[in-house]
Amino acid sequence: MPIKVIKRKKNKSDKVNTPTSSAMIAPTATSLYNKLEDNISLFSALFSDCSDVIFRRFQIGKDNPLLAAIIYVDGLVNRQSVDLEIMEPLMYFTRIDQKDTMSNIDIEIIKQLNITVGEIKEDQNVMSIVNAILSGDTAMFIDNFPIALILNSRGWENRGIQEPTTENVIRGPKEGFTETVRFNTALLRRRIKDPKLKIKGFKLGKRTKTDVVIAYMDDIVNKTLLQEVEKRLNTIDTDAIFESGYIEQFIEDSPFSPFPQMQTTERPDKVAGNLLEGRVAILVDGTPMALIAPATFAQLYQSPEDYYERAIFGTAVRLIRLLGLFLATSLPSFYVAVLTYHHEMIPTQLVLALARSRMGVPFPAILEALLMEGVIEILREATTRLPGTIGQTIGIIGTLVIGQAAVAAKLVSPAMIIIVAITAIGAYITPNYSTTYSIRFIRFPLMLAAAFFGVFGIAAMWLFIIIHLAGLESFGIPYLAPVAPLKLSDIKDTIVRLPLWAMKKRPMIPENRNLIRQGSSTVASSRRRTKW
Amino acid sequence: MVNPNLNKDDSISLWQLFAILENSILGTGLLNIAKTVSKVSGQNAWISTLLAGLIIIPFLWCYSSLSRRFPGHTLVDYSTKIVGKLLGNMANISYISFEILIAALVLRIMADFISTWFLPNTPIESLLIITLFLVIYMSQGGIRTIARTSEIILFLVAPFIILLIPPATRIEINNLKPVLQSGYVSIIKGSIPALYAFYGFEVLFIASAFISDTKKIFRTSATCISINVVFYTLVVIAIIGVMGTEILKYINYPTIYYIKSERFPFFERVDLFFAFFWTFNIFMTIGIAFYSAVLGISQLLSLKPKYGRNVGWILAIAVYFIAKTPKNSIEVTTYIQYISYIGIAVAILMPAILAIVATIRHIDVKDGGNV
Amino acid sequence: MKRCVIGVAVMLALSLMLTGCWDAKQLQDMYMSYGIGIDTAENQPNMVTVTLTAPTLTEGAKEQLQILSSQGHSIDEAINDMQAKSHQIISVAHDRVLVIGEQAAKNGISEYLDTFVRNPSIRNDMYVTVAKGKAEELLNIQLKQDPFIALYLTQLLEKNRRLSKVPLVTVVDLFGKTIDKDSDPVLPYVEVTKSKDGLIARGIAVFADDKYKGNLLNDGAVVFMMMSNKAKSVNLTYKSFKSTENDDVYSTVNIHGISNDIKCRLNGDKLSIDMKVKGDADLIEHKVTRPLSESDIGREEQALERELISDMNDVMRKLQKEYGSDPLGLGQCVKIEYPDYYNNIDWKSIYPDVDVNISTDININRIGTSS
Repeated sequence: MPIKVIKRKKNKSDKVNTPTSSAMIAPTATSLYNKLEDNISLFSALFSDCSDVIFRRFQIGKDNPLLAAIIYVDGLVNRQSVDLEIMEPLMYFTRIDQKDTMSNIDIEIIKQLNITVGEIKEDQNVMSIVNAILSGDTAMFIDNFPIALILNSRGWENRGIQEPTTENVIRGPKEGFTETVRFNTALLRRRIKDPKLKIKGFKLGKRTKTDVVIAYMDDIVNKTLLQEVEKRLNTIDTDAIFESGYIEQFIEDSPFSPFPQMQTTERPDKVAGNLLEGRVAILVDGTPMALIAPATFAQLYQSPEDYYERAIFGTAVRLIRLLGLFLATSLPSFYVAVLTYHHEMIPTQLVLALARSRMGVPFPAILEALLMEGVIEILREATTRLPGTIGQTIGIIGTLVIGQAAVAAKLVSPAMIIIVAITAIGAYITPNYSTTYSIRFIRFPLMLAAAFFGVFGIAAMWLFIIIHLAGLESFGIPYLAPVAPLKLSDIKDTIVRLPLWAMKKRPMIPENRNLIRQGSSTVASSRRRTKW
Repeated sequence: MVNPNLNKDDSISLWQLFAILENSILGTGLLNIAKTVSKVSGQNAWISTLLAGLIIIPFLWCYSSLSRRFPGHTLVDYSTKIVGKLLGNMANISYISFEILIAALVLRIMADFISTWFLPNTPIESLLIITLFLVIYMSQGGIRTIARTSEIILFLVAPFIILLIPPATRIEINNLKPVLQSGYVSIIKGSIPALYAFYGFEVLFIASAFISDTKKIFRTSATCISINVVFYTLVVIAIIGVMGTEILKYINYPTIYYIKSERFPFFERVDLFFAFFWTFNIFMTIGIAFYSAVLGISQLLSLKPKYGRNVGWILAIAVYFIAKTPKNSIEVTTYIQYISYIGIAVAILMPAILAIVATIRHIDVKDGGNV
Repeated sequence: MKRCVIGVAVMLALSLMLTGCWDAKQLQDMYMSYGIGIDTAENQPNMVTVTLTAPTLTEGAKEQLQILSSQGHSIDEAINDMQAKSHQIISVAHDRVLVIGEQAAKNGISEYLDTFVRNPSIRNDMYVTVAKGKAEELLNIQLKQDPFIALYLTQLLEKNRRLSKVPLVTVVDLFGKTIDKDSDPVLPYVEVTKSKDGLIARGIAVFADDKYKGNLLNDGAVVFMMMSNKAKSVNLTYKSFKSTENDDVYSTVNIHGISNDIKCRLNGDKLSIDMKVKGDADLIEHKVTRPLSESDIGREEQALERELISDMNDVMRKLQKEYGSDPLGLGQCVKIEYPDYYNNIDWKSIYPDVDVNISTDININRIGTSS
C-alpha cells in the first residue's frame, strides 16, 4: 500500500477551513481546521461538560518547536501508554533532525520516527475522530496539519479472562469470553491460526456505537449465509446495542417463537468449532456472550465436552440430555393427565400409594402441579438474581423447607414434589442457557392441555410444538435439521457422536464450501495386528 | 417448467416424499383392518391384504409417469391439459372431494377412537375443533412444514411398532388354517375393504409436484407401499393368529385388543400407550389430506398464496360438518365402505386413465401453452 | 405467518377455555375396585349379584377393604346400584380378577362377559376364575397374610400357573373361546380353605360352550395342562418302579419342554385322534437309597409314562364322557384336516365317542447331584 504523504499545508488552502475568529467555529464542522487552536476549540465545544475528556497541549522538540495537543478520555486510555509512548518521545527524545527546519516537516516522519505507539491511523473526519476518542483512542493534533493522528492507547479496567460462568466443562479449556471484543477475537485467533479466519468489524447503535464483529472462515462459510448475516446486521437501526441479545432480537427469523434461533455462548472453543463447521459468529463489545448463526435444535443440546470426552460417552450424554428434555417438558403434564384422566395406566400397587398420598390434598392435580412448578420458577428467578451465598441459602430454604412443609401441610402430595424436582433438574441439563427458558415455559401450556384433555391434550400440544419447530428456520436452515429434513451423514454428530476420526466430512448443514475436514488416516484404522 | 402457482423454494426430497406417503397411509386403517377384511375373507384376510397392496403398486407407475411428463405440476395443473377443460375439472373436483372426504372421515374415526379409549365424556365436537385448528396450522406452513413434521412423526412413532411384536409369540397356526379354503372370490372381495388401509398414496397427485428428481418417484412410492403391504399383512396374520376370526366379529379396534392381549412387564395398559402414539399418525393422515384439498382448491380457483392460505379456514368448516354427519360408529363403517369404492375410481383408475391418455396424445409440459 | 401463529395459539387457548374437563376425576375420589365377583342372585335366576372389593384409601382406617355388593339385571345395573352405597366414583379399571360363582358358571358365563369386552377401560390382564360356592363369599373372607384379597388371588393364580397347576385366562381370551364353537374354555378353580382365612387353587373348571360342567383337580389339572400344550414346566409325583404291592415308593420329577402333537385320522367314517406328549424330565426326588443305574432310569421312565398315560386317559374320559367338553381344540384340528367331513357332522355329538390314543415320550435327562 503506497504511503499517502500529506504535506504540511500552507496557511492558504482551498480545502481547509480557515476561520477568522473562534466565534465562527461550529461544532457541526465535518473536517478539521488547519490551526491547532481552532481544532482544540472545535473539540472543546463538542466535548463541553465532559469532565472525563482531557485536552493536553505540548510542544514537539526543543528548538523551534511544533505545537501539538492530544485529546483522550480519562479511564479509557492506558495512562502509561499516553505518557511514555506518546508524550515522552515527542517532548524529550525528538529524533527529528534539528537542522531540518520544522517548517517543512512531514507528518509521516513524526509517525515513523517519534511515536512508539503500535497502531496509528490518520483521520480528517470530525465525527470519526470523536468516535475514536470515545472508544479509548488518543487523538493528536499538530499545528498547521488539518489532520489528526489516532493513536491506539486503549486500555481500560476490565475483567480478566475467567472461567465461563454459564457453560462449565470438567474437561476442556476454562477460558471464557470477556466484555472486550478485542480480547475475544484474540481468543479466537489463538485457536485458529489461519489467515482464512476473517474478523469483520461493524459499528452498531446510533449512540452506543458498539463494536460488533462477525467472524467466519473465509473458505468454509457459505457466501449466501454470510451475505444474509451482513445484510441483516446492516438493517439494524437502533440507538443502543448493549448485549448480543439486542442483535439477536433484531435479526432472528421468528421473534415470537419460544425457541432461540441462534446459539449464545461464552466459550471460545465452542465458537471456534462452529466457525470450522461453516457458521458465522457475531461478537459484541460489552458482553461475553457471542452469537452463532445459524442454529439448529440439535445444536442447543451439544456441549464442547461431548467432543473432549470419548465418543461412547459423548453419545451417552447426548441421549441423557434428550431424556432430560423429555422429562423437563412433559413429565408434569403426564402426571396430571394420568392422575386425572387415565389412572388405569398406573400400576395397581402404585395407584393405591398415589391415591393414599393424595388423600386430604384439597387441590386437583393440575392446581397442585401449577402451584409447585410456579414456586420452583419463582425460586429459580430469586436465586439467580441474588448474590451467590444468599442464593444458595434461599435455594435450600425454598426446596427443602417449602417442599417438606407443603407435603406435611397436605397442600401437595409427595409424588408431586418428586415430579417437580425432576423437571427442575431436567430443565438445566441443556448446555445452552437460553434454551432452558424454552423448556421451562413449554411445560405450562402442556400441563394445561393435559388438565383439559388428558393425554389427547398432550398429543395435540406436542403436535403444535412439532409443527412449529418444523416450520422454524434459522437463516434459511431448517431448525430441526438434520433430522427433519433428514441428512443421514449429519446424524453422526447429532443424536450420536461418532469418534472424531470418523467425522471426515463437515456437516452438510449449514451448507459449506469445503466439505472435507480431515484425512482418514488414524491410529485405529492403520494399526497393525501384532504377531505374538 | 416452474409452476407459477407453487413457491420455488418449496421442494422436498425423495425421503421426505416417503415420509409423507407413509404418514398419509398409516392411520386409522391399521386399527380396523383385521376386522373389516376378515369379515369378508375369514382367516385368509392376510391374502386379501397382500393382494390389495400388490394391486396398487402398478398404478403407482401411472402417478410417476404423469409427474415425469409434468414435473413441478400438480393434478390441477395437468388434468385439463390432458383431457380437456370439462373432464379435467371433473377430475380435479373429484380428487379434491375425495381428499376432503378422507380428511373428514379419518377425523371422525379419530375422534371416536379418542373418545372411546381416552375421553368418554368429552363432547366429540371439541376434539374435532382442536384437531382442525392443528390441521389448519400445519397446512399454512406449506409442504416443507408438512414434510418435516412427517419425518419427525415417523421417527417418533416407528419405535412403538415394536409393541406389536410381543403378542405375536402367541400365534396359533390353527387360527390361520385352512388356507384358501373359503374360495378365491371372497379373498378378492376382501381386498376392497383392505384398500381403505392403503389410501393416502393418492397424495402423490399433489406431492410429486415438489419433487425435482421425478424419475425416482415410482421407486420411492413403491417402496413405501411395499413396506406397508408387508406391515399390514404381518399385522393381519398376527391378529388373526392370536385372536381367531370369531372374536373379530364382535370387537372394534382389534389391533388395540391385540396389543392389550399381552402383558408387558413394568408397563400397564400398553394399549393406551400405543393409542397415544398412534394418534400422531392419524393426525398426519388428516393433515396431509386436508393440505392436498387446500392446495387443490387454491390452484383450481387460481388464488394468490395470500388468499390460498385462508382457504383452510373455510374448508375446515366443511370438514367439520362432514365429520359430524355419521350418527354412530356403525354408520362410520358404512361410510368407509363407500370411501373404499370411491377410492378405486379416484385414486386408482383416474391416474391410469390420465396417464394412458397423456401417453396416447403425447402431451407433456411443453405442450401446455396457457399454463 | 406470525399473525397466523398467534391467531391459532389464541384460538387453541380459547377453545381450551371454552370447553372443559368432562372426564377429569381426582384419584382420591375413586373407588378403585381390584376384584369383581359375579353370582346368580338367590331366588331370582335373572338377576346377578355383583361384588366389588377395593382398598380403603384413608390410611389407618378400621377396615382395609371396602366391599360392596348389589344386585341387578345386568352387571352395570348392579354397579350403578352400588354407587348409592359409596361416596367415591366406582371404577372397574383396576380390576385384576373376575371371580365367577359356581352357580353362575353353571348357568352360562357368556352373558356376563360382554361388559368386560365392551368397556375399554378394563385391564388386559384381568384374570377370570371360578370359585367354589359363591364369589361373594370368596371375596369377603379375611386373609391373614394380605389385606387385599383380589391381589392375593391374582398372585396365587400366577404362581400356580408357573407350575402349570391352573391355566391363566384373561377376559378377552375367555370371550373368544365362548363364542368360538370349535373350542371350549377352561378356567382356574379356586376354593376357600376350611378355616375361612385362605384360598386354594384347586385345579381347572371345565366348560362346555359357556356352561360349567366339572373339575379336573390335582394331577388331573396338571396333565390336562400338558395335553393342552400350555404347560411350561410341571412337577409330577408318581409311583416309582420300586413300588411293590404293599409298599408304595414315590418319586417326583420336573417335566419341561412339553409338547403335545395332536393328529387326527379319518378311516372311512371312523375318526381317531392320536396324541403324543413329549417332554424332558429332571428327577428331583427319588426315595431309593442305592445308586441309580442306567437301566433303573429306563424303568423309572416307563413307570412315569405308565402313570401319565393312565392319568391322561382318565382326563380324556372325563372330558369326553362326563363333561362333553372339548377344551383341547380337537374339533378345530379335525376342521382343519378334514373340512368337508367336519361340515357334515355335528361335532358335539360325535366327540364323546371319538377314539383318542395317547402315547408319551418322556426322557429323564438329569438326576440332580446325587445318584
